[in-house]
Amino acid sequence: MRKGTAFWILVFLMVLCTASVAFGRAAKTTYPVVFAHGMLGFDELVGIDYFGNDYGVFVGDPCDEPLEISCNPRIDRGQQAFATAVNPLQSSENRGLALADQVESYMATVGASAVNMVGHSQGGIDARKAAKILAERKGRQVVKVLISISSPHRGSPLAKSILDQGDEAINKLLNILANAVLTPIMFGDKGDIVASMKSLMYDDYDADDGEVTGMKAFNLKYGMDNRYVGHYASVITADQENMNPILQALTALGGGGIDGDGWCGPENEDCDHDGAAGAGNGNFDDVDDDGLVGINSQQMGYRLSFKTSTFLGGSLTVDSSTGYVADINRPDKTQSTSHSSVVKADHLDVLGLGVIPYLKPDPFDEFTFYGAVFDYVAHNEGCRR
Amino acid sequence: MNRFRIKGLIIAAVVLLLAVGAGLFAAWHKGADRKAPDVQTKSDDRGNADAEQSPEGAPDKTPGPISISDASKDQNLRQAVTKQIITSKLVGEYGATIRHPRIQLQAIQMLINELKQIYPDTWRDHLQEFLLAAFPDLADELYARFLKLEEYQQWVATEYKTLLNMPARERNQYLMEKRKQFFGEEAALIWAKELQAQQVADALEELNQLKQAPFEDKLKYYQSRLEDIYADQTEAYTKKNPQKVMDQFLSSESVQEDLANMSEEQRRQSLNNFRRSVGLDDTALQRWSELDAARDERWRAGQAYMRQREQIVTEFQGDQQAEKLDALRKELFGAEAATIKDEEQAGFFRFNTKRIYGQN
Repeated sequence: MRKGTAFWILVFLMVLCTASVAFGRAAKTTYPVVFAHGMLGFDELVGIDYFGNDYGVFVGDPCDEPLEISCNPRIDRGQQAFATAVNPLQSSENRGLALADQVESYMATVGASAVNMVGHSQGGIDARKAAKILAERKGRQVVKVLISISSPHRGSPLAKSILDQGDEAINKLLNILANAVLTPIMFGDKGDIVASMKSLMYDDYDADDGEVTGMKAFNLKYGMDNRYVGHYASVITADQENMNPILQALTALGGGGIDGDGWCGPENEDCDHDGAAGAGNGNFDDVDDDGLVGINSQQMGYRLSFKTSTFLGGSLTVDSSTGYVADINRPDKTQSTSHSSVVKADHLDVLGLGVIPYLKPDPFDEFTFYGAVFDYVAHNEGCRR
Repeated sequence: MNRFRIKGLIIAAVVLLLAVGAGLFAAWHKGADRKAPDVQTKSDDRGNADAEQSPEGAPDKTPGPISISDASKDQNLRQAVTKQIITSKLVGEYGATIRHPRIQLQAIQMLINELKQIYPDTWRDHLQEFLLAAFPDLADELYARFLKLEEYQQWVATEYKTLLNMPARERNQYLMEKRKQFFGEEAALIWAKELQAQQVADALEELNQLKQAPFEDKLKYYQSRLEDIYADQTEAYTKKNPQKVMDQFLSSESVQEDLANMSEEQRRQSLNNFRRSVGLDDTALQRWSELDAARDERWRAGQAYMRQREQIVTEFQGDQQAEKLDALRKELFGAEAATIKDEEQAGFFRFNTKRIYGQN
């Protein structure tokens, strides 16, 4: 590289950096960002913010007070965000409606005309339904950007395995969850763990029960549609090392690992009958799942690539190598098998929950990651698709 | 533009000017050296100020072949610039609040993450040096805190199975005792958010026990507990989190029982007073008034639907039943009719769930 080139690259970097203020602080979104938690979720009533850092600080809390200490320095000081809380153990039909109601409440409180949504795990699925209901109620598109993180859009093998094992496994699952996270918040509605599991596998679990459940049917009803959401994207996670102990316990309960990087032809049915669409590649030990969800289940819309840089902080960009998943039940082979841009993290690392203090600490930097999420949202609020 | 933003921009501008200067110097230096290339070797990217890593941790491609002396000078320069950037970033993000013990731990964790990108295997060797550069007066204190954090994390790693099997409340108490052993009284500051959240959960449980108290007394109790918990930060906390403050109170079963037993007008007035006490202005209250009315209407329609639905299911079969139900849903729910039908096919009947006043 010659002097002139280096100079202009540096000038370019300077312009790029100052546009996002100092050191990679995210741009402010026009509309608030609403967070939706997954099955292991809650807000912060048990002491650890689901969408928080190691010390319970919400990633959407801006540093807008003098000398404020409980805030995310990577987001804009005027950023608006809200973490919702729905029943942890319910179907996405139930949770999606509750989520829509909460978003509706939040919009009334702050006077927002639209929102963006970020859903982790089942929260990313609930958000699709919530977006549809909000559009139906308001008669217009309400959700501008929807990002799912580690969401089982095409099912999770764990759900089917637990249902297959029956009451004993279901009770064990409840015990794991209750001991780990849920006990203090289960005041009222105890939820319906069977409905939750049925909704998180791909096919209808029981053809004779008079109900059509499972992600396949859900996706047909609450698929991707620009009348409801302006821009869809997803973050895909997988890891095999240092798995969170809760996930280890769940994996053991589910009867072993997940083979999550296969495809099963254009129809992409659940060929290996493991509870998730597609098939595996025959290797259960490769890094193709995050402890609960295979990578072939996670892409919705664009696949996002997360990178960190000392100079610019974190960034999320579209990975063009896998293309766009428009029909959520029918990803192509590349979208089902590619390991491109898979974030090395287990299902819980991306959360404050991943570092519940009594579990093994993880080095994932939630502030930087969600700073990148806010920034991506800010730059795509006006984009369609 | 507020003074924090100005401060951030000034810091950014200073560091960027340093980076530009260093980059120009490096470019000039490299250009001069390349006039006489000698032994070719592959440069590594450690010390690169902008060292992007793929999620798998593989470093990005490095520039083309250069000389050993060139590589050495270039690396030193890059490391100097990198150090300047990281320390400025630490000071910029945490400098004003670094005396708080939790902020110290966050700053240390951020530094570790940065160092791991540049020195994956030897990051520990550089920690003190960077702490000294960023916070000269506090470097020893910060390093000592890092060692405590390591000890604590080691303890957690060896004990997590025991902890995982303990009941939540017992575990939380045990953890706080242990944390005090590691961090002294500062443990309460480090895990303040966790303690506050636990106290809010306790307050909500207490609220549930006040079944006989009127709605207004419950509200007073809730607000006084928030003041106990958040002290002089209560107003700021409420102003920043009005939705959360409202949702928590309205999630209480005993509060919901009170609201359910009120007349529509009483309920409207109680919710209005409650929301005003949380800080909502007239415009927000007007929006809520409209939303409450819309929700009341939805539930009225829902109850009528469930009654008529039962009748249709009893009287009709097959296609005729489906047609009648479709027509009824369309009449009562308009644009949401198809979604409600879809829910029923999955076994979910939204009007059989509980009405939570102020929330749905």
